[in-house]
Amino acid sequence: MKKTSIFNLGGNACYIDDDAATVLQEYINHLRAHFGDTTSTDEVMNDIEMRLYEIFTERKRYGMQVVGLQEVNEAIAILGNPEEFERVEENESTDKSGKTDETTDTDEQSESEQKQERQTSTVRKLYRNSDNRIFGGVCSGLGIYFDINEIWIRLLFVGIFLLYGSGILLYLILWLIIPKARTTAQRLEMQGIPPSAENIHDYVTTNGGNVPPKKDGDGCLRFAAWGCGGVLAIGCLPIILALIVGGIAMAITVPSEIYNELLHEIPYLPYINLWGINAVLFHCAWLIPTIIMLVWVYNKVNPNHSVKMKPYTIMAILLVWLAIVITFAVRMNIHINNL
Amino acid sequence: MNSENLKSQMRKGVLEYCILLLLSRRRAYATDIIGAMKEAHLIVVEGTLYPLLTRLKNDGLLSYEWEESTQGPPRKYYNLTDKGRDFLSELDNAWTSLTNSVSYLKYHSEYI
Repeated sequence: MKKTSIFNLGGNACYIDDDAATVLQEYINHLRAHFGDTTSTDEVMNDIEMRLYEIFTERKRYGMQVVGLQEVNEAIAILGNPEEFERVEENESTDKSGKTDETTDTDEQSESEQKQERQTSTVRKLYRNSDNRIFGGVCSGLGIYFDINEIWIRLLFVGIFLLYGSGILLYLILWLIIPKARTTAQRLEMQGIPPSAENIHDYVTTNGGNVPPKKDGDGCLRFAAWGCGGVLAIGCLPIILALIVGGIAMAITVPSEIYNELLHEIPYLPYINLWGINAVLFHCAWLIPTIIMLVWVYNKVNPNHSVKMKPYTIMAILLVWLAIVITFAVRMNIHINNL
Repeated sequence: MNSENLKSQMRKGVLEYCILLLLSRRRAYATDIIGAMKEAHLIVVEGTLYPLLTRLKNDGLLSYEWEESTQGPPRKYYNLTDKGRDFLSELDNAWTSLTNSVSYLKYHSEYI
């Protein structure tokens, strides 16, 4: 006996065994990831889902009521994996570069050879491993990528953390930059296994017929993170307001000599006591906007693998950043005035 | 040079030409087009065709209409637009001159 569920394939309801549904879902996710985030992707995916439904109904006419693993695998074989498609998009990009790089044929050749190697050999892709994680799965992902037990990477991060807390920054940057392994195809790529239909099928069937469920601890952690973020943001708000109001008040009342002095001192910023908390504040002040800009640029350049940032997250980060900048400015102000 | 790369580039252009060629005879829905292409050994897997059809449609060379089907879901029947017809006749000329040139070089050229 098997559990079945109803799948919506391009607007048509279809009964599918749960294990088969998982394979099908992974296949659809894989295709979607291949076509990328363009406006026509939804249309293409809808056409493909309709075709899948058509293939399944053809089978149904022989008396099959429920679609099983075998039917799904057959349908995937008919439609094919993205790896088997003609590489239309890739060809277009090589077309463009081909025109300008006609003289560097040998480079192109070695490049395409490398590409082929990458497709057939077991080169791992770097993902965050959410199946075995403490925060974002960064260490676990790095461990798989470098084939080291993740405990050593975690220890390394704890070690870096002891250096003025810079480990946290590094971790946060990696968390933002490295994409999470969401689909089975990505989990396979993470381990250096080509994400073909057979491999996905094997992976899904050997892992209890479904994608590993989210851990309960994950929910608690998420709640705690959001709680901390919320408290921090709300807690910062009055401080920020007070600092802005105070800053304006100071700007109006404080004599201009002090500001001249301040401006005079700024070029000597490296000579100012940049240790401990000041260093952390200083680095946060320039790193946070830089990272956000870099992520933004990365998303523009790679729309297919964009790093999703929720507006609330960005807002919270910006609020924290503002608080950091103002705190740093005030600390420097006091410091310089004391010189 | 990588022969796979060149072959797939050649096939890519030909695929779009053949889709237009098929649809110039009569309107068809994706599965019909796929059937014809598979029969002609132009494609192996069906997934290749769907992005092409959508792109040709977005370029205004094809249009489509939904039609009820007695066997399963409604079907998207593709038609060649006027722009598509003009485009196809251009491609026809290009194809003819290309094959002529190639076969001339292959069999009749007296220079070499």
